[in-house]
Amino acid sequence: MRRPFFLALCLASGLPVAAAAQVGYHAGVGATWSTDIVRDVILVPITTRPGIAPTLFLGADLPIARDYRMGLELSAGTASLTTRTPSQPNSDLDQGRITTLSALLDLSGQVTRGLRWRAGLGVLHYAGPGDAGIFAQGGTMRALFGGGLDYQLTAGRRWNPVISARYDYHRFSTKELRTQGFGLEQGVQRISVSVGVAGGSR
Amino acid sequence: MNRPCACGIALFCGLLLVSCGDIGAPNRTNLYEFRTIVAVGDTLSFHWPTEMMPVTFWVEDSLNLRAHTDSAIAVWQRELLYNEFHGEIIADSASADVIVRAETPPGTAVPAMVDACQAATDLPIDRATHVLTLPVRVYVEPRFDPSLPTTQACFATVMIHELGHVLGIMNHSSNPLDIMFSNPTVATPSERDRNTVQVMYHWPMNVTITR
Repeated sequence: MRRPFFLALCLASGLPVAAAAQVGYHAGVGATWSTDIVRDVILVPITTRPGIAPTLFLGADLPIARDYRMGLELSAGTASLTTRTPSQPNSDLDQGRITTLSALLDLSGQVTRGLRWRAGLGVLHYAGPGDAGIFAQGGTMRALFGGGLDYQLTAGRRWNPVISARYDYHRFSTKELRTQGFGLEQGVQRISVSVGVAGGSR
Repeated sequence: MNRPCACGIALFCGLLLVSCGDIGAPNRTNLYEFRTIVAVGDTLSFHWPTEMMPVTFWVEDSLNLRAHTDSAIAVWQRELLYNEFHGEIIADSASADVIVRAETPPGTAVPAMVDACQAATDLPIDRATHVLTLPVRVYVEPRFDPSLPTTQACFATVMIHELGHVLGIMNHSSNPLDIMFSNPTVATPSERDRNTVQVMYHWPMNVTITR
């Protein structure tokens, strides 16, 4: 089922059919931690940060040179969003839930047997509750830089277990924040860990 | 160390350095007095605390006031960036935090007047004890035919103004471009109104709420 689908995809994209046999896949579930997406000051510092986000990862890659592969990794996560005033205990303000979707075009290579590095560029989309708050005028699409490590626990099977760690960085803002006078963008770092499987050609 | 590995580490360090930048928050210094000065060194400052959200409104089914109240709640919710205030209309007047009625403001309240209507808010705070006794009452009264578009537009404006008082703005602005000017001439909150309400919701409150 998977092979005819991928062959069709390769033909449609102009990819040589021979390359289809060399495609590697991976999928995983994990959790993503983020730094503050807004640091404000209203009399005292106020921070807005997503909670730990359950995240789904899907990816595919192709060899482009000896030891190097080029791929696309998609991720989707959802998290609570909370505004805190660190100097005032019990001041948490619930901002509802946000959803993040990312697509990262990446280059990967082998570090040691079973361990691969990965780095790339992509986009990250935030969607949040639209009636009020920082997403009152809609979500936002941000440029994303990221990288990470994949450790494949076994080799040679059709599907092999993989532990992955990811780091990415983007600059956050929304139309509502700009309307309210926020002149710059917030640097945001995210770290994810996931467990999953890798298959296909590796 | 091979070249890709070194490049990766360099990229990571570079990103860590640039990630320190903050978002350039507005300074919110352009605002007006929202507190009531009781005596020298004694001010009343009030806003609805987080644990009381949502603030409940009962609205008389008259003059299309429910729609105007609903709209005014949404307007102020959007001015507060971090969901500091959340209001909802309920059917039970006995448990409501705020009562909105279509009637003449009592003589003790200073009404906000626009050509076609007037309105007032009674925020019953004891100045000696700093205790607010619920419910807060809002009065709205037409001065012309309530079915006229100008009168309905007037209701929309004064409801936003009165809900500014309900939220805790206890004074009027001296600037006619603010919705909290005594006789409002604008239809929506200004940047000064926004700054004022945002600062107010992070200002230490010294009013106790009781029912």
